Amino acid sequence: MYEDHSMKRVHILRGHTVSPGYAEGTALVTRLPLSFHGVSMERETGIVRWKGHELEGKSVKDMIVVMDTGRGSTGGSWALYSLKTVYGTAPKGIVCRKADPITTAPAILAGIPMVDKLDQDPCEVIRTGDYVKVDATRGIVEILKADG
Amino acid sequence: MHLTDEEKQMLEGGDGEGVQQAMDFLVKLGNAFGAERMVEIASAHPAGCGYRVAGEGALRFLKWLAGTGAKVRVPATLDPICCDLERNQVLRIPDEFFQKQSQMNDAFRTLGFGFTFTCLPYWTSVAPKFGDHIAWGESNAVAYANSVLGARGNREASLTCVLAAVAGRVPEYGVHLPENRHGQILVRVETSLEDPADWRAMGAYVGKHAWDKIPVFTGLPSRISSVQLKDICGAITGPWGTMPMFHILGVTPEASDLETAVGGRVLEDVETIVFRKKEIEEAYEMMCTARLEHIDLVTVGCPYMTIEEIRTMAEVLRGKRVCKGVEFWGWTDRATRLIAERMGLVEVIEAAGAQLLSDTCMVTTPLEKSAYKFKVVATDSAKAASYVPGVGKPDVWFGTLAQCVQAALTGRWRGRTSG
Repeated sequence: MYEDHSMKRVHILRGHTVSPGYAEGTALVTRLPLSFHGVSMERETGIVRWKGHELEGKSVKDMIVVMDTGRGSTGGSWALYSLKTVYGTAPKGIVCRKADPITTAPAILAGIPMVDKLDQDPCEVIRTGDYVKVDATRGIVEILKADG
Repeated sequence: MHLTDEEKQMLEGGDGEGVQQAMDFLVKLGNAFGAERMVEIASAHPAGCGYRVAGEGALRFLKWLAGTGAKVRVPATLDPICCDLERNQVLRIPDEFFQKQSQMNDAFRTLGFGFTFTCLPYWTSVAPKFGDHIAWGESNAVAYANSVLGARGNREASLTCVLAAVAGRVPEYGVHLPENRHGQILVRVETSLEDPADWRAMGAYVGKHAWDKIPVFTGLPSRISSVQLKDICGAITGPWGTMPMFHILGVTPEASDLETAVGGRVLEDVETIVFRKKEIEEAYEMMCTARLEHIDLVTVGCPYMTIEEIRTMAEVLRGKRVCKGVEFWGWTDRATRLIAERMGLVEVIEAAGAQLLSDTCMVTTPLEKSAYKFKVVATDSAKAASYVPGVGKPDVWFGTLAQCVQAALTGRWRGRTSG
């Protein structure tokens, strides 16, 4: 559904609450799974260090991360919580195709809004650089297209 | 989500701030995965109990939780930590990790966790029984508890296990529900498995290819030992796959026949993996990242060794001597090490220049912060073979214990010889 909004194209996706809360910011999009743990991400900067990943070298800090799903070890699951509470390098919000328990748990504990199961594929609709408002409590994602 | 009166009281803060936080978290987690209610758990066992893996956020949260007066409501045990508390002269981990780990341990002690520091809680600490719900994080243990013992638990994040221990509950989703425990992919084993490393290679191969689908193995001998089952568990999930369990036709308790194992689904709909001699070879190759013959560390026991595996390690090392410039480390829990000591096995191992280490392991200790600069590591563990290599980390040879010992004695890895 398209609406006119401050001369920008606005796109609304509806989905499912994973971790309640509200956040808005610039999108960083990957169609691949992403891990927020140790060897895959530098905690002091939030920079992806996953060798060969399409986000390698980019930072998740203060972004709305749009991804396929989460990946990683049960033991390393505290990492996302540390990004938020210790290093200040966590994403502002997470939008994914399908949530996994190992990313969901720290997102809930750290209060990082997260949604999944949207009515359209967020990895296709949202592009890196779009401005995204995530109302995770209601499961609504509003996208202001960067090229709009 | 339906909550009992007791659970509502927890959520409203009647049992203190820590329990309230735990219940608030568990309700949100349950809502995220469509759970309709909580189930009471028989035990909890988080992974990531070491400071290196868990990190500063975990330490701060655990301190806070312990400070609220919250206590575990069920038997709760701990996975390996980041240092060997008694033998740091071998690992030489910096003091900082001891200090941080000591603070984490203080919090765990206050909360009431048992200091097992083992990845085999089902072997040495708390074995759940058929149908028990559990909140466990250690992947090999989750696989064993579900597949072999018939307990019910997902591979939960470590913080979920900690909070479930304090609330005595987890949301009922995933393999807590019988309909989610059915096999989704068939594995037809058409080769004999000789060495323990073959069982681990099979686990790794099937883990990689089945990924999140629950496999049903057919064609395996009905007389499978507990150690062989542990070998599959230590490879199939965590490092190589993500499924919480598997079935073995005629062996594991929810696979008395194929129809039961796949939940009555039409067989044509079920994918099949065929595992032959060729796939064994492929699995060995998949786990070797090294190219250089020269090795500087041999590591065995990931997951931890049982006393019988330590006996085997001691026998193959008896009267031999590890080559200068090579370290040989075996890993087990503290209690099993004591048994090995009393049996004279530690003496044999140390006389050969090898070490038997405890409390921590190859995956949880911050070796990158130690004085060692290993370049090539040999192992007979599929889990270590997955976790040890990486950017700026050592390369790995995966093989049999015999190959690993040969490499330790000569300092050189020799290719896999058949027979």
